[in-house]
Amino acid sequence: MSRNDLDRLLTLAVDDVLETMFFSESSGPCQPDPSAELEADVAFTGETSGTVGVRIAKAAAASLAASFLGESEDSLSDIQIGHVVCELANMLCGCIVSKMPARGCFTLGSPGLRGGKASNSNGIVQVQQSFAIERGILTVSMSSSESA
Amino acid sequence: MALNILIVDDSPVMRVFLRKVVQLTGLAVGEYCEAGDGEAALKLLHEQWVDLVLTDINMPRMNGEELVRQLESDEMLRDIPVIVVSTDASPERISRMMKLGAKGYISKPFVPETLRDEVEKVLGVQHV
Repeated sequence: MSRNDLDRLLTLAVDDVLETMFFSESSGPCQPDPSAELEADVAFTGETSGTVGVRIAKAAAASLAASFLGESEDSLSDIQIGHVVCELANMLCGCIVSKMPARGCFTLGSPGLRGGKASNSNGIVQVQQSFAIERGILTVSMSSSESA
Repeated sequence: MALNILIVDDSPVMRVFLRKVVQLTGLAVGEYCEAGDGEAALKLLHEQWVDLVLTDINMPRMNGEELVRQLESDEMLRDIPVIVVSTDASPERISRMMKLGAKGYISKPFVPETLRDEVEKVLGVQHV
């Protein structure tokens, strides 16, 4: 897939996941937030392998988590917010790889918080986009490489 | 008839989400049970009757594929309908899970109506 195709796929996945599962929406592309402190990623393997990652500020993550769980932000623990960020990465990864041209089954790894480490840039193709959402910015990245 | 539903997912927030979505569908639910992986689900199913299992695929210890396989091979449990709820929407995965014995498949993201429709399809309209 070309970089443009991946960019388009990533935008579609973000819109789909935010609207359907988080009752939220992106108000459009924007610059990334370098101070965003929560990062999670999910590895996928198949004919194409790679990683999908998300980076988001805690306030924005808390807002998404509250929508996702139908709870008030005040009632959520940091652990719950972290789990929701992992689930966001998981759903985005599944949504993206499922929309890639049919190439058999993919296996998705377990989502995990990265704890501020640099994102995986080992893939041949890397795309990253940032989206303005309620109370912050969501950055989504994808690196992938064709398997032999 | 109120349904007893087992939700199997290693993500605690996803289990909470699924429970809320089931509530939104208006399904009459008697009891919700939860398990964090296939192994815990099997143990629970040997102790308690449920009418429907909603399970993820990617889980530690025992994944959703193995759970469906184990249920199919168990005379006591094979009639319990299983609906897979997964981020993996590839036709290959859906076909594989249905061949293993799953009765329904919902790919995330999804809206509550999708869950209700799938439950109606699997259990029959008279149950919901």
